[in-house]
Amino acid sequence: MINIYKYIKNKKPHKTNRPQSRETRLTVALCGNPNSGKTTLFNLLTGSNQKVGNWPGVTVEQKTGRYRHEPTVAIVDTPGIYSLTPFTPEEQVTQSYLLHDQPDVIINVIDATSLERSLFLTSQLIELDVPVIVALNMQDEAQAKGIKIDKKILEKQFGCKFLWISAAKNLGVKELTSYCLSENLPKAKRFSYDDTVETAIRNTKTPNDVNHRRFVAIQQLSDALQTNLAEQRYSNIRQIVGKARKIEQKSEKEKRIEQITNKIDSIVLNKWLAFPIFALVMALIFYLSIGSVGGFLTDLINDGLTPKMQEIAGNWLSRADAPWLNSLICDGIIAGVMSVVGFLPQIMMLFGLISILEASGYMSRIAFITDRLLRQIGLGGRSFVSMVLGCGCSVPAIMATRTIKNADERNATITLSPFMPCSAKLAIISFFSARVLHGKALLAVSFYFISIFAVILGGLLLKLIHRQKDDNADAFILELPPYRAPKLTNVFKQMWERGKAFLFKAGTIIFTASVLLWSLTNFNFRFEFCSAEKSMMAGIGKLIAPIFIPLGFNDMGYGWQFSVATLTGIAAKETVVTTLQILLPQGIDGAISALGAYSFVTYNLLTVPCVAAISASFTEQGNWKLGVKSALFQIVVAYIVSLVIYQTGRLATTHPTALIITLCVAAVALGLFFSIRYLIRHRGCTNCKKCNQNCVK
Amino acid sequence: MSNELAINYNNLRKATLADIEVGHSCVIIECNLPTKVKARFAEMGLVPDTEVAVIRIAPLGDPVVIRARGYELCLRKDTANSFTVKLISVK
Repeated sequence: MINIYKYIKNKKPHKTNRPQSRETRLTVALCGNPNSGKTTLFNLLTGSNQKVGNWPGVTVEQKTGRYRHEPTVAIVDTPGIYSLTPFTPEEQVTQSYLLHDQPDVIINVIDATSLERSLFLTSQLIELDVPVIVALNMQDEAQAKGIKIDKKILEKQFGCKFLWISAAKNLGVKELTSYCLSENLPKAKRFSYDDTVETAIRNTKTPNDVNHRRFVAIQQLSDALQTNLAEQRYSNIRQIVGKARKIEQKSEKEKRIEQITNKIDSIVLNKWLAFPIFALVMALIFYLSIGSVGGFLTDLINDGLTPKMQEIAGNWLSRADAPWLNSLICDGIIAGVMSVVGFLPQIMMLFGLISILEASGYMSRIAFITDRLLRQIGLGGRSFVSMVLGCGCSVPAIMATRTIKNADERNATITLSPFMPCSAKLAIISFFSARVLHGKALLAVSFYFISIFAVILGGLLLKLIHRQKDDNADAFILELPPYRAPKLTNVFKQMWERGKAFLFKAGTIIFTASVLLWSLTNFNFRFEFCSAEKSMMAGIGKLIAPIFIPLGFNDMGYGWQFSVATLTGIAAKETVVTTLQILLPQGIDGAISALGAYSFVTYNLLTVPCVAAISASFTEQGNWKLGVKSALFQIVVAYIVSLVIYQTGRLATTHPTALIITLCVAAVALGLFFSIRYLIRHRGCTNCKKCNQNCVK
Repeated sequence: MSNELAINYNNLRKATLADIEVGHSCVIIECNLPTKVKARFAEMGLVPDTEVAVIRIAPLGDPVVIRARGYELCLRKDTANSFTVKLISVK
């Protein structure tokens, strides 16, 4: 049974992020299914007058704003939901908001082309004591499909006004808003149900002072009754829609338009073409954002803007005759912050492209085709996209997880994306490949395989750790919306929002971290300005160096230098290279063995990412405890993988035969184990092609 | 095996949504999932007496795309296996 009192009793009113202290004469809430065009309508109504944040206490995005033509009207966008029954965080948050914060009007945005399913939410909304206006969106699409809806029948049955709009084409929106702002909105009718349900509703205790009594009582019903209720709702809706909706015979042209989605899907989801097409799309995204345009702008910043800033600052500060201040500003703050800001073009492009993927509907297809593979390791289609993005930079990869609904999947993606080698880590790879690893390109590629292996291993481990009884409310439900051309204004808005959030992060957290790291590497424990070897960072490095001995960092006696380099990697992964160059001016050949170097690179690839990515993951997880857990997990996995690599390598050189024998035995044992398991499970099975180990015997 | 043969062969157990091949439609008879999940799917419109058409199958064999109540939804094979259905048309 769902305990609804959690959401309404003793709760402080939501601090919806209303734009500053303006009088609000009316609050309008937008509710609707995902893909109903709610966001487009919200953007139309608020223009630039909107704020994006999170609903308090959860990582569900919240958008609030003001009506652009009348700033005293506040507009709140609720998450896309299929029903108000609080199974998922989105539903909980929306229900809590509607019950407690009491908006004055609800605009229910509906995709007119999926009327039956959309009206389910409507039937729940009318049970609240808040006036509801239903906006039949996608008027143009409905017309193209020959769908004719008699509004009057719907209005009569639901007791509220139905208005046609097309948010994408800005049709009917004026009428919607003027009706919304008019007084005297009608009281909605409620559905009535059969005796079992109605008796249960009557008998449900609710506190005397609670609003929306009927709604609250209904939500209190047991899960079994909820199913019964859902069936009755749909039965009512079917009758109503049967009377109200007529689908005309279409002309040839209209038939073709309707089937565009199907035609595209038959190519894009084709058994043989699906993955190649997907690979192409990912490659294109990558190329556009990291490669050509994004890369160009990033280089412009890193090679042009940053040195210029350092030069100007340096000149100006040299008059103050305080070399430490000069160093702080130029080498510490400017270098640190700009190295991250330099990524801004790439990040914004990535967000723009992902936004296009989402809005067009292709993202759902990605989740669809990759589901079978990824669910074994606790990830999903959107996670795959994050992994690919992570090869460019972990920050957008982590920020892109915001759209992942399943909390476990989102956490897993945030924790595992940094395992992929970002462009900064590539610097480490190429630095070592050129030297100690003797330029073997194959070795460089092998690191990518190690990363993929780490993601798989990490995913399995996380699944193991989080193995509670399957919380089945997170059942896999994925809608494939029809393909739609993304609205560029929406895309740019998202790009801008994320870009701003990123800049803010750079300005604050990374600034602080840069100053801190600069202090640690330039001062010794007596706070005197000194060289790197005598700094606090070196002291810390020497302290932890013993931990890395089993990983081979010290196999030629330079353990602490490599440990320090690893620590400085927190600032930015390229710093690992620069630190090594400072601490080992004689070069790294001869400072570490090839195997030790391989282990070192592996460790740095897999361990906690740079401070920019760490702060992004803390933000996305919303909870510092989770953030710490993720960081620890990454360190542990990195350590174990490097350890295994180094020690196995050593074994291979010292006791090669023993190692080979052990590996063969292990391989045979595994092979036997899986074969026998397969045979046992499938004994008595005939050739049933749907076998997914679900054989009914 | 065509749908009719498959269902006859398996007449010890009823046909499930997982048995329906691409391009065929059926009507839901009942759902055998735990109450919470069942309620969830009921809210999405998958209740008894609902007509469901199987549109597509993923390249790796799982999940499948069904069309019900005018929209398309992806279901995993094991979830589909929990819906008892009755075959109605052969396209």
